[in-house]
Amino acid sequence: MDTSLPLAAATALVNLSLAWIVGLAAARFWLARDGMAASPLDSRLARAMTATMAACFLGVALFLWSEAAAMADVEWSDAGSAFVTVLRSTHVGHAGIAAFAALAAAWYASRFDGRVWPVGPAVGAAMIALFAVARAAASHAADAGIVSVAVGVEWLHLVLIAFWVGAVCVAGWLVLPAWHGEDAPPDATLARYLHTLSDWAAVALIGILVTGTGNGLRVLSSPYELVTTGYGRVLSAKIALVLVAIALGGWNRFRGLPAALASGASLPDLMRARRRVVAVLRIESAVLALAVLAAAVLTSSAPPG
Amino acid sequence: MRKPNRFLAAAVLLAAAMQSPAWAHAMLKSASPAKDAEVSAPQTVTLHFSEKLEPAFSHAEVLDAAGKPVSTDKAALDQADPSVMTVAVPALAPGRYSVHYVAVGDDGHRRQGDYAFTVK
Repeated sequence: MDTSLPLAAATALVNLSLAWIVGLAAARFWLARDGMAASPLDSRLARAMTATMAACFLGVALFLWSEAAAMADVEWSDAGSAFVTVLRSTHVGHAGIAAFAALAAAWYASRFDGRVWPVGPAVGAAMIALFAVARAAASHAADAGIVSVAVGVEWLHLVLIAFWVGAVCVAGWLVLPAWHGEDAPPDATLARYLHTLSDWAAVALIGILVTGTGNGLRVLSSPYELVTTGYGRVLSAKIALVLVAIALGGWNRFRGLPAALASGASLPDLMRARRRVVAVLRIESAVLALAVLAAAVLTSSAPPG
Repeated sequence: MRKPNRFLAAAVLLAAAMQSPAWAHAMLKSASPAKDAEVSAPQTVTLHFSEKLEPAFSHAEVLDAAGKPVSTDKAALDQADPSVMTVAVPALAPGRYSVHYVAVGDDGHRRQGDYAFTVK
C-alpha cells in the first residue's frame, strides 16, 4: 500500500480539528439556550475553540504542503516550489485556499459570540459549512462537477461525521468534567444538554448511513478485498473501531445516561453513574479518533491495483 | 435506533459508508498508438486517462529503444478534456518505443507507468 504518511497525519489533524470545531459550536449553542452564554464553562469552550481553529489552520497548511510533495514526488522538506505551484494552479490548491478563507472568516465571526448574537455564530456556522464544501470539492465526489449531488452528499457526510465525533469529544473532555465542579451548571441544564446531544447524535448517525450507503455501494467491489489488500485491512480495522464506538454510544444512551440522570437515586450512586458516563464517552472519543486516523490513511493511500 | 441489532446493522452500513471514495484514480484507459501495437510512424501519442489531470504535475515522454527521449515538446492536456494528454513526436524511424507517463489526478494522487509500441 502506497501511503503518504505526512498526508495522512495532516488529513487526520484537519478532520479531528474540524470535528472539535463543530462539537464546540454545538455545545456552546445548546448551553447558551439555558442561559449559560457568559458562564465560566462557556469561556472554557471559547478558549478551546480558538485553540482548535489554530490546529485546523496548521492542519490545512500541512495538508497542502504534503499534497505538493506527493504530487511532485519530491522529499517533504523540498516541496517549497511545488507548494507554490499547487496553490497557484491545482484543484486541490484552490480548494485549500477557499478552505483557509472560510476558516479565517469563521474564526473572526467566533470572536463576536454572545455580543452580536446571533450574527456571529450564524456567520461562523456558515463559514464552517463552506470550509467543509471546500474539503468535499477536493475529493472524488467533485469528478461530476463542483455543483453536483455527489459533492452535496459528500459534504453532508463530512459535516455529520464531524458533528458526531466532535459532540462526543467535547462532552467527554470539556463539558461533563464540570458536573461536580465549583462552577457546575445546574443539573437540569446538563440533563437537557445530554438529551439533546444523544438525540442529535442518533439523527447524525442515520444521516451518515443515508449519505454513506451510496458511497459504500459505489466503492466496494468485492468483500474479499477487505482481507486480501493492505487498503482493505486498514478499512476492516476502521469498521471494527466504528462498531465499538457505536456500541459504546448505545450503552451510554440506553444504560449510562438514564442511571446518571435518575431522579431519586442517592448521591453516591449518581456520582458513580456519572463518572461511568464520562469514562465511556472518553473511550468512545479515543476509539473514534483512531477511526478518523484510519480514514485519513485510506484517503492518502493509492488504492489496490 | 431502539434495539442493539439495529445498531449492528447500522454499524456495518456505516463502516461501508465511511470510507472515502478513493478507488477511482487517474489510470491509463487507452492510448494511441495502443500498448504493444505495430503502427506506421505516428505524429502524436495520445493518452486517455480515467479522470481529469493536473497540467502542472502531469507529463509524458516517448523514449527510443536505447531509452533516449525522442519527444521534444512537453506533453499537453486537451483544452476541452483534461483527461486526455498528447505528446508530439518527430518522424520516428522503425523500431520499438516506450512511453513513460506521470498522471496526477485532480484529487492530488500521482500515478506513473510505462508501455511500449513498435513503429513498422
